[in-house]
Amino acid sequence: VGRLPLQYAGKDITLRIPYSMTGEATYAANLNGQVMQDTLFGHQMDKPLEVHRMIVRLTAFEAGGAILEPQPTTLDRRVQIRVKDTATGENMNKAAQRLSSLKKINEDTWEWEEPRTITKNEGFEVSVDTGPYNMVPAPANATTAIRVEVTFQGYLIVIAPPTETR
Amino acid sequence: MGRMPTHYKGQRIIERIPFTMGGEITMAISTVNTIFPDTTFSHQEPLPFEVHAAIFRATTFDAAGDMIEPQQTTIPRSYQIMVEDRSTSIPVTIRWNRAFDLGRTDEQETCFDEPHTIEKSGGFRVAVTTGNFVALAVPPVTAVSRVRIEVTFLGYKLIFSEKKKKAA
Repeated sequence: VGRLPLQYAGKDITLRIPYSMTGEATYAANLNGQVMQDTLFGHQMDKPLEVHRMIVRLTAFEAGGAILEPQPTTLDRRVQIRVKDTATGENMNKAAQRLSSLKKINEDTWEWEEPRTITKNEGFEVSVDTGPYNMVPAPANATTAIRVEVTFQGYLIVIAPPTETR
Repeated sequence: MGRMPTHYKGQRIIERIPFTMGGEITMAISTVNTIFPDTTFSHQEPLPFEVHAAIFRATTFDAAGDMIEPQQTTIPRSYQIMVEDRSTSIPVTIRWNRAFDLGRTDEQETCFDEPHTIEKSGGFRVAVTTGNFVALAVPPVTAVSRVRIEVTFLGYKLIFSEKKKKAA
């Protein structure tokens, strides 16, 4: 876990409620700049969301739409993402970021040790690039689509009333 | 987790935006001292980039360009990395380092507990030397023809308060 600040915007944080903001979309091979639906990662609650990590998981499907069992082990080497902080308009990646070189091996998450807090109507824009899905040795069932599952995880924060000493 | 400084060059840090600077290059096996283009790891934004970690990964392909599935477990032992801070020309690694030897085993991430902050036009020079990726296994594994080296520097873009810290 990263840092847990005592204050937000100069006010004491009195309570944290665990919270996840998640969304998913399925993509064929060799696509560029596929923007995930913007409402998925727009924060719409009154309480600020203190984001501590981004989790991206991938699930492969065959042509008939069935989930492959077992899953190929190289999926995160085939997908790149870009994330933009809509609160500031700042890009969070210099270039398209391959998932295999984004995450620690043991955690499989992009940890934000310094959490990023967003307020109502702020959020993240996530776009996806996919590469070829072919692999060698050729498997019995080829991967034809990958579902990209994205979760921003952290806490809704409750802050002390402005007049703390009454 | 590394240290989170409160100030940079006397300015108070009030906000951090998670940021990654990633790049990759595909090359043949058994090549020596292939250098990433300077632009790949050059920071080009006005906000300083506080680097907390570096991740080195490699992905192997056969002669037809298809990704090998599954990837060999010995890949991190088969290529070496050299990193230099371009701003100061100071080496971050004194000589060739195997990716296998960089970082904790469980994380496979090189953590800078004291973060290294770079400013606009600063960055890193990264060079790679690849081995032959020949592995003896039963059943035999698919022969590696090309390897894609994937490097990411992770950290935060820094936002400062208007006021500068008073001199002590």
